[in-house]
Amino acid sequence: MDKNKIWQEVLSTLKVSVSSGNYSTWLSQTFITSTRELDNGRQLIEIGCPSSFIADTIEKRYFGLILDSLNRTTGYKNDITFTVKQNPATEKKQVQENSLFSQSFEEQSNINDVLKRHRIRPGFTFENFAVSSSNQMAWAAAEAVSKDLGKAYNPLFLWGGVGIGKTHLMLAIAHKLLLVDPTLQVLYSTGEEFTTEIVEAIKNKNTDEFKKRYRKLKLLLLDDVQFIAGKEKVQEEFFHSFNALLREGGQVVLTSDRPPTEIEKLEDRLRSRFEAGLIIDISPPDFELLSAITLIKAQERGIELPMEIAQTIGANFDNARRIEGFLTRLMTEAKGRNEPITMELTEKILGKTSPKRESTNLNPKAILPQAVIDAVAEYYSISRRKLLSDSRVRPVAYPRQILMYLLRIEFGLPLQEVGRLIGGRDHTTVMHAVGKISTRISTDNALKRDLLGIKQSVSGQLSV
Amino acid sequence: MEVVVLQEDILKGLMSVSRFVSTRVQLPILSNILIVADKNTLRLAATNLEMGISYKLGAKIEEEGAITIPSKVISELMSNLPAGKVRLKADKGQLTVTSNSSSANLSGISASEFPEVPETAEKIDFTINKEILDTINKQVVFSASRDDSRPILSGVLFSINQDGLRAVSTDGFRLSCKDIQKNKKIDMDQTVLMPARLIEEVAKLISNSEEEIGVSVLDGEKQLIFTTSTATLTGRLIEGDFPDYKRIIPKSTTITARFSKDDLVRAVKITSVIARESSGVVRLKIEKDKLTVFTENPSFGCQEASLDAKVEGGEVETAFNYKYLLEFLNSATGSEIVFSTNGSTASGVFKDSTDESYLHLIMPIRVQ
Repeated sequence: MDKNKIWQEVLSTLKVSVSSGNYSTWLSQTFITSTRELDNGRQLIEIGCPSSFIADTIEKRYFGLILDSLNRTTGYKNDITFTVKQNPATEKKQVQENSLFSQSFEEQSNINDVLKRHRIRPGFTFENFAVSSSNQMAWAAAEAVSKDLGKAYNPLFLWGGVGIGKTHLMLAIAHKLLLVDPTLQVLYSTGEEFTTEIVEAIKNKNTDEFKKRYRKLKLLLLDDVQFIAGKEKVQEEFFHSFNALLREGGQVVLTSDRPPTEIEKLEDRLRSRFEAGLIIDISPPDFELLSAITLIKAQERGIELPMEIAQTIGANFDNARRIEGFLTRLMTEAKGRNEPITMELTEKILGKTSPKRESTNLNPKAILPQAVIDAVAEYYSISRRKLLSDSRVRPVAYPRQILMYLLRIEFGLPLQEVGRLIGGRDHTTVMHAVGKISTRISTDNALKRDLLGIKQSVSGQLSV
Repeated sequence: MEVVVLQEDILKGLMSVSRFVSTRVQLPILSNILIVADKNTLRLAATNLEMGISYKLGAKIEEEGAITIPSKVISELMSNLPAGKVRLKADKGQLTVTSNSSSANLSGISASEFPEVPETAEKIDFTINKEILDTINKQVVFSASRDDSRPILSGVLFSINQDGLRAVSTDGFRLSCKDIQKNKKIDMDQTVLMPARLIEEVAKLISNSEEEIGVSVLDGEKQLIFTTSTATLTGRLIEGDFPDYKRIIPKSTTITARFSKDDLVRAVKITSVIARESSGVVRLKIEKDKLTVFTENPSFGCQEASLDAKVEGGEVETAFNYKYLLEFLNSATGSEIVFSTNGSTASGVFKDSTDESYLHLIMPIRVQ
C-alpha cells in the first residue's frame, strides 16, 4: 500500500481519538518519510514532523495511539521512529522566481553572447530538461559533473538513440557553468567538426596551435564521438588531447549513439579511456516523458498547451525533435487559420504528419513481418533465404529463433502464422524458440542488445 | 510550587519569553508560558513550535513545581505590580500571585501538557560575539523575506570557514552580504541557514549585556540552539539550497557615484511622500556631479530633490522602491555611500565607503 494512503488512514483514525486542536497542532502536518520491511512481518516506519517540538510531543504522547492504528492499517508489526523534515507536499507550492534571481533581458542576451563564443547553442539548460526514469541517471550524472567539474565523473560518456537529449544534457552542463563564470574555457565540438579541424591544421601545418587550444580547456564537450572511429590520425590527436586535459583536471563529456565497446574501429587505448569514466545510456523516452517534453517546448514558444493535447502529441511521436517540428507546424497552422490551438486542429495535423499514424493506416500485418525478417537477416549478416532455409547450423538457427521470438512476442502474430512465415515450420518449433529466447533474455546482455538493435532498425525502416 | 522573585526580574523574563508565544491559538497551551521552579532557579519557557525559549532567573525557591499560565494575563499583571518581592504559589492548576498590597488568582493548565523546550545545549559548536550578532541583525536580517511561502528566503545564510564568517540574506528583491573577519581561530567549514526571526530575537534578548553567544547546530534533529547566559533559544534549521547569490553580485560596474548618506536619506524621505501613492517608486538620476531623486504621479503631482555627488562613468537613470533604500540607509554606519550599477535595469550595488565588508544589492523597478 502507498505510504501516503497508509498515513491518511492512520490520521483519519487519530482525528477521531484526539481533540481537533491537538490534531491540527501536532498531527496534521506529519507524514511518512520512509517504510522498510524487516523480516518476519515487521516493518520500520519513519515519520516526518515539521519541528523537533512536534516530534518530541508526538513521541511522548501519541506513540501508542499511532502504533496501534498503524498496525491495524498495514497488518504488519511496526516499529516507528521520528525525524524532523518539511512535508514535501506543502513545500511544493513554488512561488514564481523573484526578480533578483530571474535574469533580466540584458543578462539573457549577455549569456547568449557568451554561449555563442563557445559555440554552444543557447536554450539548453537543466531547467528545461524533462526527467523521467529513462534519463534520470544521465541527468543526475550531468548535474553532478556541473557541480564538481573534473572530479565527479571524468569522462562522462552518454549514449543512446537520436532525439533523446544527449546533446541537451551536454550543453546544459556548459550553460550552467558559463552562467557562473563566463570566462571558463569551454569548447563544444562534434566528432565531425573535430575531424575537419585536425585535417585543416595538418594541411596548414599548425597542429601545435590546435594542440594548445584544446589542451588548456577546462571542459571539452565532444558530440557524436563515434564519427572519429576509423580515423587514425584524428584518434591519435584526440587521445593526446584527452590525456593532457584530464591530467590538468579538465572535464570531458562525450556522447555517442552506441557504447564505446560497440564503436567499431575505435582504437583500444581510446576505448579503455572512455570506459574508465562513467558510461550511461539513455533509453528512448516513454509516453509520460514525451508529454512533458511537449509541454516544455510549447511553453518555450509561449503557448499554454492543455494537458490532453500535450498527451495526444506525446503519444504520437517517439522523439523530441519530431515533437518540436510538430509544434512549429501546429503553431503556424493555428496562426494561418487564425484559430486557437484545439484538440481538433491537433488531430487534423497529426493525421497529416505523424509517422505512427501513417503506418497504422497501412495494414501492419502485411508490412511488418517482412521488415522484421529483413532486419534480422541484415543484423546477423546472413541472407534472407538462408535464414528461412532448413539449415540447422547454429549461426543460422539462433537468429531464426530470435526472429520467431520477435514476431511472436513483439508483434503478436499467432504461432502458426509465424511458422508459415519462416519457411513453413510447425507451430511447436516456434513455441520452443520463443521459450528458449524468453528464458535467455533475462540473463544474456548481448542478446538484449541484439534485440534492441533489431527493433531499432525495424522502426527505422518503417518510418522511412 | 512556591517561589519568591523580584518583580523587575520576572517582568524582564516575561517580556522576552512572551514574544515566542504562538499567535495562532489552535491549542490553548501554546499561548501559555511555562513556569518551573527547580532547586535554585526559576525557569520560564514558551514556544510556538517553530521556535522556543527557555529563560532562567534567580529566585528564592521554597517548593519545587511547575505550571503554565496564559502569557497575556501574567505579563500584564506583572507589569502593573510595583517593584519588589512577588510571591508565586501554584496549587491545583491555580497560580496565586501576591505582592505587598495585592493578590491575584490565575487559572492555568497543567505543565505536563507543555511541549519539551530545550533548557541547555549539549555541545556548543562555535560562539558569536555580541557585537557581531548585532551587526548581522542590523545589516543582514532586514533583507530576509517575511513571507512564509519561500522558507529558504526567510533565513540568513551563515558560511563559516577559516577566513571568517559571511552572512547573507535576500528576499528576492534585495540582498545583504556581510563579511566578518575572524578574530580568533574558527576550526570549521560549514554553511547553515538560520531563521532570520530567531537571530532578531537573540539580538533583542542580549541588547543590554556584553557576552558571547554559543551556537549549536544539530544536523540530525535539524535544530539550532543559541545559548546566552540567561536563556536558551531554539529554532529549526532551514532545509534546502540557498539561491546562488554570488551569481547576481556584479563582478564589475561601469557607473559609480559617491554621495553623503544624510543628504540621500533626506532626499528619499521628501520624495517618499508622493512615492507612497505610486507603489513606492522613486527615481534616481545620476548626472555629472549631481544625483537627483524624483517621483511623479499624475494624480498627486511630482517631487524632486538633488544632492551633490562624485560621479564616474557617465549618466544613468534608474528607479527603486523607497522603502528598500531607506532600510539600507538605516543599516549603513558610515557617512558616505557608494552606489554603482551597470545600467538602468541592472541591479544597484550599495556600499558604505568606510566599510568594505558590507554590500547591499537592490533590484531596480522597470519604468517606462
